[in-house]
Amino acid sequence: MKVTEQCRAEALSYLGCRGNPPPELAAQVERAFAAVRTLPPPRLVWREFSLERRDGRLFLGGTVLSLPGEDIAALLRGCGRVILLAATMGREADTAVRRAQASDLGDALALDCCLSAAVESACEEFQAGMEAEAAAREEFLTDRYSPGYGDLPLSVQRGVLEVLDAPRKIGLTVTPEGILLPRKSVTALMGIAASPQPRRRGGCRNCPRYEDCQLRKDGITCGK
Amino acid sequence: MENKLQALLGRKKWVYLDGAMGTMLQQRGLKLGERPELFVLEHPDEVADIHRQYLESGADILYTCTFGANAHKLAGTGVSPAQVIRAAVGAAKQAAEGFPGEPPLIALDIGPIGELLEPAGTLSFAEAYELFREQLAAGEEAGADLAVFETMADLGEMRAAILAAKEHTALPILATMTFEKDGRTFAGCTAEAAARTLDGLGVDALGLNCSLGPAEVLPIARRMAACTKKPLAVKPNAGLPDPRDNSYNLPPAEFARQMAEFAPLGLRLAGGCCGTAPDYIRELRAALEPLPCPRREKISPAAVCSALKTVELSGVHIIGERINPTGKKRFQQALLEQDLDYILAQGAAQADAGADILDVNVGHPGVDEPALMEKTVRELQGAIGLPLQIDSSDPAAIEAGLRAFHGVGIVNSVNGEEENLRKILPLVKKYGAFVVGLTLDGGGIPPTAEARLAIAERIVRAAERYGIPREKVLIDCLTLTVSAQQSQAAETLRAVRLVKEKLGLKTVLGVSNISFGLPNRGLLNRSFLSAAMECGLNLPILNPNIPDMTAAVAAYNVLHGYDKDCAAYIGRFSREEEAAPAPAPAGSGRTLAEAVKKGLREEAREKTEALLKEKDPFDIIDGILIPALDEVGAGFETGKLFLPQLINAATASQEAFEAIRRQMAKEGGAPVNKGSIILATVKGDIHDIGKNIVKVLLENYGYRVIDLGRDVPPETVVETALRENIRLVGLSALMTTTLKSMAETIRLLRESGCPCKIMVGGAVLTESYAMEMGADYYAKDAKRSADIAREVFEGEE
Repeated sequence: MKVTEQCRAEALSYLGCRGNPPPELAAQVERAFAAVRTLPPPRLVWREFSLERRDGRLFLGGTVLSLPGEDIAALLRGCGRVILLAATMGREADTAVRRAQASDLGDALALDCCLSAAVESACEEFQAGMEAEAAAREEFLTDRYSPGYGDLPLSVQRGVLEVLDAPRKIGLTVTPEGILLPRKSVTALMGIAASPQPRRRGGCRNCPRYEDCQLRKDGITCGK
Repeated sequence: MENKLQALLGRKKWVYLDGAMGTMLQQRGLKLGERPELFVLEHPDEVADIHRQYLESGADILYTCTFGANAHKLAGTGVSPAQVIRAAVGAAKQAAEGFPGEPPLIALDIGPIGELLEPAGTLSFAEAYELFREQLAAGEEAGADLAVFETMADLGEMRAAILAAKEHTALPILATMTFEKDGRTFAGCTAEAAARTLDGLGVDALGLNCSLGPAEVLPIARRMAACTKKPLAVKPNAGLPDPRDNSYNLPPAEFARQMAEFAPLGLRLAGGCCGTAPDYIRELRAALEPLPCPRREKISPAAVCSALKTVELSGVHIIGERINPTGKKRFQQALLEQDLDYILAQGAAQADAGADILDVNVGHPGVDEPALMEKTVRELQGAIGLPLQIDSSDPAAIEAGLRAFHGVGIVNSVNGEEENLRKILPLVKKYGAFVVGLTLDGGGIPPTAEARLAIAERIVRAAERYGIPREKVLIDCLTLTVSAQQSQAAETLRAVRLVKEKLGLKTVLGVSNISFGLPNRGLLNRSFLSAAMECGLNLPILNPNIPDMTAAVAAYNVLHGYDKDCAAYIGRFSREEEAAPAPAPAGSGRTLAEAVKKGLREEAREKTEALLKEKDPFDIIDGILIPALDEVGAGFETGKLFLPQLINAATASQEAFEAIRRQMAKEGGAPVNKGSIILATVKGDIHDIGKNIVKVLLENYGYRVIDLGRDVPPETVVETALRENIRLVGLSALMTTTLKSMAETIRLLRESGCPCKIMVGGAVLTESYAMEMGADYYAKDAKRSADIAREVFEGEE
C-alpha cells in the first residue's frame, strides 16, 4: 500500500505527536510504515443493500439487520441504498505487533499506530472510489459511519459482519464485548442518495477530543 | 480396520462431495443474517429436499446443515448444538431414505467457531476443544458417518477440532481449510503447513474448500498435494463473487471444466462451496468420471513446520539453543518468575539472528514444567512463528508442548532404552511430530561409532513399529567435550557419517559442548561445526547469536548448492557490509544517563556493563537510571517529549537493567525489588500495548511487575494479590464494554479483604469514573503510574 501524507500525519497523531515530529520519531514511524508495506494489503468486503423502513425502523433489504438509533436515521434520511463495508489489516498485522513487542516496545507502538492509520486510509481510498462511481451515476455518498458512532450501538457489529459474510470473506470477527478481531479493522456504512449530502462528521475527525484521544491512539472508537 | 470414508475411497475412483447449503437456503427465503442452523430446526423438509437434490446430482457425501452449530454461535437462541445436529443429521437421513442408488455418507459439518483463538483472540484452545467435542459427540450419537471440518483458517482451531474428534469419537475425519490467492489462510497458515500438519495428525482426507474459484485454487491444491499422500479434497466456490450482490461468476459447465484440471494431481474428493448448486455437482461428475485418477507418488522432502513457516530438511538448518536454563542463572530466574517476556525476547533475538527452528527447554527445579512448557510454546508461536523443538525428558511436558504447538514440531528426545521409547514414541506418533533419537542407552554413550549406529537403528525400528515414518526420525550422535575425551570428537563425526550412509537418516548435533573448558571456544565450535556438516549434519543445535556460527552454515549451504544462486548468502552479507561503517556506540562521549534519555539500547547496556565494574548496582539504578527516566517523564508531562520517546528511553533503561539483573543473578544476589505490582488487562479486553508500556516503566523504577496478561478473570487478580501480598494492583481497560469487568475486579478485590491499592487506566476512563468504580488512583498515562507506585511504596507525593 502507498503511504499518503494524511496517513503519516494520522499515525503521528495517534502517537500523541503534535506539530513536526523530532527526527528520530519521524524515522521510527518510517521504519514502521516500511514494516506495514511488507504485510498483505488491507482486505475489504463490501456490499450494496436497499434500505427498507418498516414500523419506524431501518432495515437493510433482504437481511434481518436493522440499524437502530436516531443518528443513523438522520444520516440516511435521503438515501435509498447503502454500502456496507468491512476492512481489516488481517491477523498478520496483529502478529507483527506482537512480534515487535518481543523486540522493542517503542517500535511496536509506532507499528500499532501506523496500522491504525493504514486501515483508515484503506477506507478513505475505498470511499473515494465509490464516490467517483456514484458521481458517474449522478449519485452522492454520505459520510462514512461506523458502529459505535453516535447512538448506533457496537452491538450491531455482529450483524454487520454476518450479512457481509466477513468471517469467511476476510477473516474478520467480533468478540462478545464488541471488539473487532483482528484488531486493525473497521466496519462502516455509507448512504447513497440522489442529492449531495452534507458532511455531518468524518468519523472522529469532528470530535473535539480528536487530538488527544487515547482510544484513537489504540485504533478504536468510543461510541459517543 | 477400514472406516467408512476409507472404504468409500477404496471403492470409488472419485468421491463426490455436495455443493453449497447456504446459497440454496437463501433461494428458499433464508435472509442474510439468519441462521441456517435455526432454519433446519424449523424446516427440516426443505433442508432434506436440498440434500436429495445433491444426492440425485451425484454426491456421495452429504454435509449436514450444521456449519455454525456450536454453543458459541447458538448462544442466545435458546437452542443447543445437540438439538440442531439431531435435526440436521435427521434431514440428511430423510433425503437418503428410499434413494435408489448407493446410500450416501452423512458428514457432520463443522465450521469455525466464529471467535478467534488466543493469541489473536480470547478463546482458549481448551475452550475451542470443548465446543467441538460437544458437536462431535452429538453428531456421532445422531448417526453421522464422518466428521468434516471445513473453511478453517486457523491451524490451531483445526487441531482442536481434530484432537476432539480423535479423543472422543470414532468418526473418520475430512479436514479442509480456506486459503487466499497466495496460498495462505487468513491466519497466515501456508498450504504446505496445513497439509503436513493435518497429515501428521492422522486425518483420513484433507484439502481445501471455499477460498476462491477452481482455477485460482489449483496452484494451492498442487502445493498441498506435494506434501502429503493422503486423499486430497477440493471444494471451491463457483468462481469469484460480485461484491455488489454476492453472485458468483462461474456457470456449472465452466466450473466443471476447471475442476477437471485437478485430476492429474491425484485429487480424490471433489465438490463445490459458495455459489454452487446441484447442477454444478452433476456437471462436475460428468467432467471427472471419464478421466484417469493417477496415484500420487512423489512428495517433497520431509519438513518441520509451524503454521507460518515450513523448514524443508535439505541442506543445513539451525536450531537455536538459547531457550534453555542449563548453566544460565538469569534464565533460571526468569523461569522461576514465569517471566515469559524474557523468554520471548530470547526467541525473537535468535529468530532475528537466523535460527530456523527454536529448541524449547524450560525444565528447572521448582517449576511446573508441563504448564510452563505449554505457556512458552503458545507465546513463542504467537509472536515468533518458527517451528519448535520440544526439549524435555518429562513425557508430560513433552505432551503439553506438542499439544500446544500448531505445526509439525520435533521432540528432543528419546534414547535407545525400551522404557524411554515406550513412553515417548506414542506421543510423537499422535501429534505427528519428528523425534530426535540420542545414540545412548542404559549403558551410557558407546565409545565407538558402530555402537552408536546400532542404537540409532534400534530407535528407528521402534519408531516404525509405532507408525512413525523413518524420515521423521533424526539422530543425534552426541558431542562430547574434546578437552575431556579427545578421541571422541572424531568418533562422533564418524558416527554422523555412518548414520547418514547406512540409515539415510537426517542428523542433529549440539555443537557448543565440544569446546567446554578450553580457550577460544568460538574457533573450536566453528571448526567442529564445519567438519560435522561435511559428514552430513543437517540440524546443528547452536547459539545463532554468534555470527561466526551462522556464517559457517550459510557458507556450507552455498558450497553444497542448497542456497540457490547464493541468494540467502548475498542477502545477508551484502547487507552486513553496507551496515558495517556505523561508528561503535561505546566510543561516543555520552554518559549512561544520556544514552538512556536518547533511547540508545546497545549503548545503555554497554555503559552499564562498564559501570558495574566500579559501581554498586543500586547506585546505578537510583543515581543514574531513575533520575534519567524522571527527566524524560517530566519532558513528557510538559509536552516537550512524546510517548514514543518516553518508551524508547524506558526500553534503553530496560537494557541497562537487564545487564544489572544478569550480573546480580550471576553473583547469586536477590533480584532488584522495590515492591511487587500486579498488572492486568481486564476480562474481555485484549488491548495490551498500554499495559505493557506501564510495565516497562514500572520495572525500570525497580518494581517487580507480575504481569497477568490480557483478558484476565477477576478471580485470577484476587488470588494472585492475596497469594503474593500485593500492595498495588494496576488494571487496564480500553473499551466502554469492558469497564464492567474492571468494576467487577475492583469489587472482588475489596470483598476479599486484600489491603492493596488499586490504580486504573485506559482511554475511556476518567478520574471521576475511576473513583466511582472504587479505584484508589486514576493513572492517566504510564508516567503517572510510576508516580503512583512511588507514592504507595515510598510514601512520596
